[in-house]
Amino acid sequence: MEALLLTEKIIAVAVVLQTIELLFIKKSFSDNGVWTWRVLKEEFTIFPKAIRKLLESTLSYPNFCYLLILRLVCAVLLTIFSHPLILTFLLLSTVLICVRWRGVFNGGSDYMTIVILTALTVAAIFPDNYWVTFGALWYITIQVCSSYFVSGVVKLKRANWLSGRALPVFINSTIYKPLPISDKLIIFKVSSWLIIIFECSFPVALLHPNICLLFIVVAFLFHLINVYIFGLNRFLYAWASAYPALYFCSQSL
Amino acid sequence: MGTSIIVLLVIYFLAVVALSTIKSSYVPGRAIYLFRALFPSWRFFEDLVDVPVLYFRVSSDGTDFGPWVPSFEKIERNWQSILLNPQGNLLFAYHGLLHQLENDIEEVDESKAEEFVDSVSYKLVKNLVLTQVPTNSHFQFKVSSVRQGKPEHAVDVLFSLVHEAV
Repeated sequence: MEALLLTEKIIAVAVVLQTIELLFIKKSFSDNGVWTWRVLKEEFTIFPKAIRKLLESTLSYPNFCYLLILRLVCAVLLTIFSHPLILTFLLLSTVLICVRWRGVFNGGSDYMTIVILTALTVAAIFPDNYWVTFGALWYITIQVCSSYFVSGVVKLKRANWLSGRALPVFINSTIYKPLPISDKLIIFKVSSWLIIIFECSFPVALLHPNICLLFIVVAFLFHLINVYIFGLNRFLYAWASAYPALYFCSQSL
Repeated sequence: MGTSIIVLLVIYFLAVVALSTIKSSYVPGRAIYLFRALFPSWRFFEDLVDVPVLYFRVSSDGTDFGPWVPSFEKIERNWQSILLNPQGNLLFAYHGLLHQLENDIEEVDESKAEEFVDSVSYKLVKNLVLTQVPTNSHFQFKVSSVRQGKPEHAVDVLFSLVHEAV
């Protein structure tokens, strides 16, 4: 199915970029870094011995680097061809990376990457079953719609968002140096409401393929702006990999 | 079938609205926390909150300390971060570490507060500061909880012991 194939290729690119980033910062999880295995493994005493051995063999340094390199190779291969073993390894390695970082490395992008890889892995294990593929695409679609919808709904209950006060604070509370932004609250109030309306209305994208395309373009631009303002580059690719499934589902209603 | 799916979707999103009224809370249980990536949460930038900020100070002899210095400096934006943003994502990870430390502090039994220095979160934050202080110096770090948008509202939540950078 074309939607599945496109999802695979985009998530493969996302995983390639994620893994290269992790290799760039390998000093931080080395034995002289911050997330040293010597300290981290104390948290894993809650697991049975067999699990602890598995974690030791994959997450200690430098084994974790080898895991990342293998993940990079598999992600590159996925851009060329698909195989259940490749997808299964990418899924499991993503979970292991999250465990290495004590739950998640980058929050939302980890969640979406795992959602996508889970769906793709299940679909790859049952390649000739249309309903499994259909279900996998709908699972991705439900999750991506929920990601925008939930984010919008929770903002609707926050006076700081409805008044526009939250947005300028978030913009200048990032990892980056402050931006020279306007002090006119009305600009941020309008922007906040546009964001809330966009997020809350996202499920409407399912009603028609043309509406879906419009939402995809707006969403892509939204994530692009977030890359610049907040540095959330991983979100761009993780969410982009869900859009083919979203478009497919908008056609199937 | 299309109508059935639409009905199911409407029910699903109404349930999502209802569930979103429940305040998200920190789930205790280390195993669940380590595997929380399997349970996505889509609440992003929900509200202005208190965020942890890490400071450290250095002394050559362990007694005469310099001023408190913020651990992280804000970095410059660049368009290459569209593709790769390792430094930025590392900073996000540091902030995540501090959030975890804050959560762990809240769980500490006051009668056993001195044992907190043996916690994984404390040791990892100590490692973080170690990467920033001169070798053979003595250092101390603190974590303050600062309300976003109101930096004057800062509360110190942790003062570390004095450590030696060897």
